[in-house]
Amino acid sequence: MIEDELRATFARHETLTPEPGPLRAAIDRLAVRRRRRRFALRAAGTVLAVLVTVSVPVMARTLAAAPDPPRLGGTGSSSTPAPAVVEGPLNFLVLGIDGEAGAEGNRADSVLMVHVPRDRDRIYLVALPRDLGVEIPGQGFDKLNSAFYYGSHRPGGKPDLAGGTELTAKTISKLVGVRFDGGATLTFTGLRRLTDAVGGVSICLDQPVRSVHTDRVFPAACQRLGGSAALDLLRQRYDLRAGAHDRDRNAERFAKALLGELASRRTLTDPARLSAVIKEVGDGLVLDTGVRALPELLAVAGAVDGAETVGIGWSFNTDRTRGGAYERLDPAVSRSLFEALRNDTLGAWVAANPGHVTR
Amino acid sequence: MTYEEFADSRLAVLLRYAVMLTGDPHLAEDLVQETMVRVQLNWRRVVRADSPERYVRRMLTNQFVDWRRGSWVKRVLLRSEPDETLAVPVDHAQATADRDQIWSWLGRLPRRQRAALVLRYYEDLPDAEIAEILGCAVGTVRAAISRALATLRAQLVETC
Repeated sequence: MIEDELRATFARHETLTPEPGPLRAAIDRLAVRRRRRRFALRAAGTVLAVLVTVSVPVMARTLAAAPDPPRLGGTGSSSTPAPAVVEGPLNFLVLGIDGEAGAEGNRADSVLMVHVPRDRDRIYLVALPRDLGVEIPGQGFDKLNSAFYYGSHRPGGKPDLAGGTELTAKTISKLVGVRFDGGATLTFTGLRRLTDAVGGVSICLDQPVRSVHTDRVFPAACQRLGGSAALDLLRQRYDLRAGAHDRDRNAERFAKALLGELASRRTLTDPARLSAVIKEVGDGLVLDTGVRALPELLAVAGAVDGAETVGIGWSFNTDRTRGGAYERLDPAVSRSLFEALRNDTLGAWVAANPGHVTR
Repeated sequence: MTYEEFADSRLAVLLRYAVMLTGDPHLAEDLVQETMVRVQLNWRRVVRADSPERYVRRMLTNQFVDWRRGSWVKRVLLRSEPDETLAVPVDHAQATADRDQIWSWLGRLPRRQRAALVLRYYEDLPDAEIAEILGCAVGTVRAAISRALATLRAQLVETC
């Protein structure tokens, strides 16, 4: 009887239902705003990726420079053989994921290939857009950033960041035709903790920056920033005179300041301090040395000391024919670029395509 | 199916469902808005589900039940009790008044219990499907419904 009353009550109140029209418009507006916010997060991811690329080799080089008696002894009697010298070109994958390792799943919003050529004179950075439509092994056609989700998501459990990195690497290997020798994946917290672990950084800005996220204003002056503030600054793009380009310059300033901080505290020359810092960053940074042994990579890191860093960028087309907005590679560029990556001829490629060098 | 097609055909239905869940047209709009924004941003994943419609209904229900996670709840807590007199067509018959009383009692039930009632007595879904939407066992659904009905019955007796 009460059941019938319930049915009647529900049916009767159907008239309360508002018109869907205005709501539909409000949903679209809000979705646009959130997409923009996601974009800002993605931009920060790029910053993180570049930072790791810059800082990890430096840290690693320092580790390699630490006293190592068996190697310095140099006689055949040593029980630990000197690491094999890595001769060929190397490819690394650096990922910045969208925030924290959370149960709702993570995507890799920043995807950066790092190519170290055979002659070690330069470091090439090739970024791929996270919205690039790709074939993900075992998952079909989707956006590139989803590969990390598929690889890392463990329903009800902690995400497996290494699994996400691996599937993303496989996806890109299939697309580009190169195998990765290692990788680094950084969460949002990773950058914040890293900054706090060195006691903050000093950054001098040439224009004031207002945060669209926190309303904090960073003056056009030298200032000392903790982890949260640094992260906030590096997320800003919209308010800058040259937008993304100025933000990249802030990222460079930050990376330089961070390395300076590490150096001044003698962190880089003291393996114990360095490992304390890395420990402090904790699970915000996942390093994967891939098939190579760590000592081999450390030797490479020493070799690329002082190498020029060359960023490669190109425009993408948005493809709306497959539902959702996918970025599409421009085959005229990507075919020769990927071929150059495979054949380790990026130097010649950059010389032939100076317009695609981002700095 | 595109997001636009989905919204064209399902938005009104979802709104009606949300009204039954929340008991309030404004809260219903908030709830549907929050859910549909997420649907739009994650459309690829939604459309891959066996039934996108069921998937979205499940999202919306969870958003409603799981108040701790939703930003949506902030607005809920800021509002006072759902306005019981709002826009309900006035009918002076006693039976109608009783039914409207049931409507306001529904608002005091735990959210999961109310959702279970709506799914069974408004959406007419089998218990197995209700369990799937709420993410619990069929037995739990039945227990929740019988507890909710008992509460309503007790209140009905009290006012007689």
